[in-house]
Amino acid sequence: MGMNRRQFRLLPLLLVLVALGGSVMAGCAHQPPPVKPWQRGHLVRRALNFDGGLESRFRQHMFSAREGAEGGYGHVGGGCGCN
Amino acid sequence: MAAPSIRAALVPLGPLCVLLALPALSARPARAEDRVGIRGAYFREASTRVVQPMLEVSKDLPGGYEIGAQVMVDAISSASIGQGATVDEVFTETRYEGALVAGRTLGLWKSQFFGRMSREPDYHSMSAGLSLSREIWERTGTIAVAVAATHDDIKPPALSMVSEKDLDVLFAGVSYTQVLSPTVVAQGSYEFFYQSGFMGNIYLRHPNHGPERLPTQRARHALAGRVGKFIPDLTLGLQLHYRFYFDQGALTALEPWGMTAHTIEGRLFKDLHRDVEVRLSYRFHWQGRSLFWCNSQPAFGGQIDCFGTTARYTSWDVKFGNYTTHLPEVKLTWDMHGLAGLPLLGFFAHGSFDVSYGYYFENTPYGQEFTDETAPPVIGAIPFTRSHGGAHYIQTGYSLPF
Repeated sequence: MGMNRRQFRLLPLLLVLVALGGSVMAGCAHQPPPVKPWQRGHLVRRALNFDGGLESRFRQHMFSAREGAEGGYGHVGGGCGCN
Repeated sequence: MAAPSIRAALVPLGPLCVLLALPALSARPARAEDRVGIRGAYFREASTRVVQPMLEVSKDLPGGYEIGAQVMVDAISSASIGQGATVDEVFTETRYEGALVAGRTLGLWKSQFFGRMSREPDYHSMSAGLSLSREIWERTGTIAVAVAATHDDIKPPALSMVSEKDLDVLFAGVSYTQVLSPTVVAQGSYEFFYQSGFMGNIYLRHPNHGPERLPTQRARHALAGRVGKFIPDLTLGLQLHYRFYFDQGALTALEPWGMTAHTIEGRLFKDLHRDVEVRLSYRFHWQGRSLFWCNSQPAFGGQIDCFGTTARYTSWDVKFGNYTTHLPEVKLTWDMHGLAGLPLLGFFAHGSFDVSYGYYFENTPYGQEFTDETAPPVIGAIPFTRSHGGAHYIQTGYSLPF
């Protein structure tokens, strides 16, 4: 069930899409920002923040000891603690 | 494997906790950027109990500088069945981890350096890294890059007849976070790990092939997207996370790894009271096996001779196979403003307390039935045969600005 060669060949396309997305974002920089300073009240809500801090680190440590996949959450591993 | 109890292992942390907590007890006015936090996690599966207390303190300095420190203990009692244990032999092994962080914010730019060291009897690890971020588009977007390197020394017990091994990891990541509206935020990220060295488990042995023989190179990729939405009228928040993972044996070939994984998580946030919020979440993880791996565990539906006689790589570790996990979780967070004005307790009013409980379902031997006749009761006093296939997972923490 691993990735097959056809999927592997799609990777360059994926990178092009990422570059395209970056270009779109750069174009957006010439537009007015989507949020004015006085509209930022809700941005402190936990639902609008993705940095889980220590809680997220603990969870990722558990997952890295149990699952074969790693990464995607901004945490660099280190140490085993994998019993 | 005779070792001190979990309580004894935590004793050395006592004076350090007091030392690091001293700034929090000073009488200076609260500032959002200086913060002290304590956190603990408890993990309990059919054979394994893990207790992890952690202390973190961060402080702003003049000139935009900041410093921080983290100390953690990972106290493990008994090896899990998934890590090669055949009986639930109770012992306590402790891992100590310390980290220092230093950074500087200069206008829209923020840079940070970290160093981390981890020590346990059979595994030593050192990491260091740099990150750089910049706010753009009138501070509605943040682009960040990070690099890090890790060196691990694996030190088998003297009687195991296994030689010392090491593992080097290089990490690079980039992320972009954008506020899309006053109530919607989105984030995309890509992370890359390059591992070189021993990636197996020194305690696992295949009945037919002996110690694990694994590839020594691995390139790992993780693409992730997140979106968060808050609905003010309902005081309701929603988050959706998705991650796609794949790995390769080299940058130009999938073999012998070729694992893929999809992880999706949904979170719902709801205010129960002015100061109390509940978070309900569900995480689903699916992964496909690595190309070299086959299921040779009869108890898990495999065939013990599936590797044949000429396989270059062999492993008994189900972590490289097909499986799924599920993690439903509930979390309560209390912003303790209500304590303001109370004698003594008023000091804690600027902080927030949280507690969460989740149950980790695994369709692997990690969670299979296990005769657990010698394990001490930790929660629930049920030290006998398990009939479930998963793990209890509890976290609690308190964070206080000072």
